[in-house]
Amino acid sequence: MCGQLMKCYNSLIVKEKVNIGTFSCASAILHSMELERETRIYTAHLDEWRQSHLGEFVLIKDEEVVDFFPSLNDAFSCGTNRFGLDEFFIKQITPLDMVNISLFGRSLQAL
Amino acid sequence: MSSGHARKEKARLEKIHRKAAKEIPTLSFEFGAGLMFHGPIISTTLTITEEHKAVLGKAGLPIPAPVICRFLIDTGADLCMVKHEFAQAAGLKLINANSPIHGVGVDSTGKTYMGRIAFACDSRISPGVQHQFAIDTQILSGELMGALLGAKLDGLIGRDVLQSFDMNYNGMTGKVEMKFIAHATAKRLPPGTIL
Repeated sequence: MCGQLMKCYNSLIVKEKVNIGTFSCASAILHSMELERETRIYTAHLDEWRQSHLGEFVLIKDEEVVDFFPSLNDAFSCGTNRFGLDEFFIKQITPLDMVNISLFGRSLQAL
Repeated sequence: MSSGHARKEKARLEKIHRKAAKEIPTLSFEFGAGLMFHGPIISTTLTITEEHKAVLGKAGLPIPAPVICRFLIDTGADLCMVKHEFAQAAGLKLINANSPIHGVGVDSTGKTYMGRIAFACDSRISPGVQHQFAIDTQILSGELMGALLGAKLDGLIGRDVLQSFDMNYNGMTGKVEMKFIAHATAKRLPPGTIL
């Protein structure tokens, strides 16, 4: 299993440095793969949603935009109730798609 | 203990908890000169949300144990952040694998999880009673390169959590007080809640 995961990992073009141990690293990559479709949908609609849903939280599963919610907790509750332990994507529609973390910035290394 | 005594004891405890429930929970930290040099760094609990816990329980999967993290209270941070290994150890739920992060001198990408930051403090008016409260929020994860920073801190508490507090920072005395105020994302937990 671990060998399969590593093959899968090696077959990807991974730009980011990952140094969190073999299993964690492989599982992190799989998570990324699972949410890749959702991220694509989000990115494709972002400009449009900034006009119509600014400030709301979007819940996306696979290629379905499930709904928009006024709060993170509402979106997470809906996602958990509908999809249980499966992966789902939640993101707030903000004017800038960037989170400022001040102090850590200088020392942060992306995964 | 006779049933009469048990009833009286129960009534006494209920009275204490009712009194404590009216109190505003206040986290109080004495940093002294360290406040100037290190900033307000507090230790508190990182764990999964109740919904996530329920789903894991239903599936017969183990509930990850809460993790104690050293957080810097950072009014300059939009959201909370922890080192990646802490997000994984706490078993937080991944909700976005590609979150652009901006900070001083870097533009980077991290992951976003849904998690809970829990706090506890002793009651000032009812001895022996402990207030517990929790804030469910999105938590970014990343990795610290700086050995010094990494050794001192495990994460940041950002403004998404601070919106549930009335904070007083006294640079002269090195004392920081955080009064917990009601907010939609914050929950006061019943006495004796096991996280």
